[in-house]
Amino acid sequence: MRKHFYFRINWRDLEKISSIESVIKNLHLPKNKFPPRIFVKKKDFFVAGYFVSYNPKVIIKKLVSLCRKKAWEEIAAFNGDFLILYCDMKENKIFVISDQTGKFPCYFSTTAETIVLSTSFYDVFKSVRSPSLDIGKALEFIYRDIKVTDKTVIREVQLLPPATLGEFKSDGNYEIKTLLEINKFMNTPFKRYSSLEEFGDVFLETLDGLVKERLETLSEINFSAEISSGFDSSLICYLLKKNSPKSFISYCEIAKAATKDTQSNIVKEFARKHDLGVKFVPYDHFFPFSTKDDFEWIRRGPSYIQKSQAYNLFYLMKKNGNLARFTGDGGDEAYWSNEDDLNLEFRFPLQKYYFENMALRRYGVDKVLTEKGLNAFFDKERFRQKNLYPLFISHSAVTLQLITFPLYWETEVWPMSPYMDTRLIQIARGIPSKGEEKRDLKQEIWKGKDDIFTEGQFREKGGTEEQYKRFLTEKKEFAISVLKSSLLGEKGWVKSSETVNDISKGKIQTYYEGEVMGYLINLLELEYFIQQNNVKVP
Amino acid sequence: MLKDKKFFVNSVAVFFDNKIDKENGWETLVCNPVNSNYIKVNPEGYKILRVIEENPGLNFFEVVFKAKKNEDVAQKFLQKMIDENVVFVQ
Repeated sequence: MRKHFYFRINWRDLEKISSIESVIKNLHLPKNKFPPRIFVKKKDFFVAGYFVSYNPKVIIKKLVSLCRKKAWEEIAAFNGDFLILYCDMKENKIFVISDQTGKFPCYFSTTAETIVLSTSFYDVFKSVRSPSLDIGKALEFIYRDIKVTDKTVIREVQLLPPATLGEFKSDGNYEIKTLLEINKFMNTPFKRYSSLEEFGDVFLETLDGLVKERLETLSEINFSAEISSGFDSSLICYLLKKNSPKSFISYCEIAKAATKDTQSNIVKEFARKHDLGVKFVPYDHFFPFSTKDDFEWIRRGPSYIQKSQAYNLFYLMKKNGNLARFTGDGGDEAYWSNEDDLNLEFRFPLQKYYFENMALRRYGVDKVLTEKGLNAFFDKERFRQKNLYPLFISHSAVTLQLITFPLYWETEVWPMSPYMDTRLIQIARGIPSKGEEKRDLKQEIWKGKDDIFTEGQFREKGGTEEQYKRFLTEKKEFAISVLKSSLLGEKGWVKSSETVNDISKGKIQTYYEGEVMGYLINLLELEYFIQQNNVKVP
Repeated sequence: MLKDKKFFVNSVAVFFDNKIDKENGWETLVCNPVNSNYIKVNPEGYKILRVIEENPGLNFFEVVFKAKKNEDVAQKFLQKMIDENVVFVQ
């Protein structure tokens, strides 16, 4: 496994820093081609991490100067990919800040003696002597909650949320502070578009600029792209072709059981239209728990993505000489960022969060969680105790980056996500989308753009459930074995015995309804992780 | 007729938090649990909902008295909340 950014220091050493070298020796900062590693050391401070800014264009000298001035809000507002550790020897403090998109997760753990920081959840987890489960976060994980907070499923391991400042002081205390200036963002004048067509033109022009910026930053680095038969990734591929003289390959994942999601003939037609090179990557043999590698990834930390499948794709890109991949991540969410929704999100974040979770009850979580689990999950007091950190980029897009990081770090193929840019969100504030169903919105926006899209793309896109549900039949022994030893079941949080009974008897139809299959997959991942790692369950 | 009913708040449709609600000038957001529509509630409405939430089963006049609101204002608001499944009556 590739080494991660890792920093461990005793509070006592932070209190009396004898020399900058005494602190630096605790830092592991692996090289990285893109974004490049940064390390600036002076007598009384150092700046370390990884940094690229698409807008504004910032040189390292300027970044260091901003760190020295503690201009954290200014840094947090950059549209870039970065993780910065700043050690101030005069104040005996450590500051950590990451960008808005979640591309560089930063986990940490503190004890009475030490602070440990890393981009690897597993490395921080392993530093904890006696890890215990955060039951609230665990239930949220099963429920596929995508809200970014400072918690992880392990009580002793926290996440520094994107665009926040972690300030670690020598007295053993730390503080996490939101850096995004919501009022400034929401008070920025914006245009309300009179039609979806008008909006689409401005959106396209802006996105074109964002793609160009990212291409300039990549310079000589070879890149690839992801493509499906939808609008988001294909539009990125179109803009890449338009703006880059370099040849590149668009990689399209396909599976026989997942044609509702992507159809190869639609992708081929689009590729022909724009003279794109496409490589189809079959993933028929990838579904939850289908490979040995999956278990190793899960053992190091549960997450919502099909890990060996994603690793396979990124590894292929890397093998073909690419160190960056353009994605359509954040596309859907960018279109949904209208003024009304953003206002509600920033003024009433806790209420919205609670209601969004309540709305999902109808999708069958009571098939997996017991009454005890449900009561704990929906307890209003639990929500009230949450620390919420606002983001301009949607939480679901950010969560995707956070959980995919181990895979793209391992393969060194960096995600380039033009949709996850605050300038696009500012445009989207003015989208005239009242009354439009979210699923129809893109079709309405792009319906006049037959110079870009093909007719086949204007269809309702489905999911990959048919592919992923195979685990219930093809890996049922694994599911039964994990659930029979269920620690969450033993403590009464989940219906492990009933589920074992159902799977053993082949009574699985109910697990295909609503979102139950997803909840079960998440439960199995979490359960495998906690069983493999001897995590205490309350 | 609302005036001879007892009022109850649908607990899944409201979420009160004194700190956030104060920061928002006692405005809040409620949610119709049937269609997931959000409805913004002004401070007058907030007061009415809190009174009912803290005293389930009050009749209309008790709500008006405790919330110190005008009857017409209260009636109009409560009807809206009933229509949106935020308040129910017996």
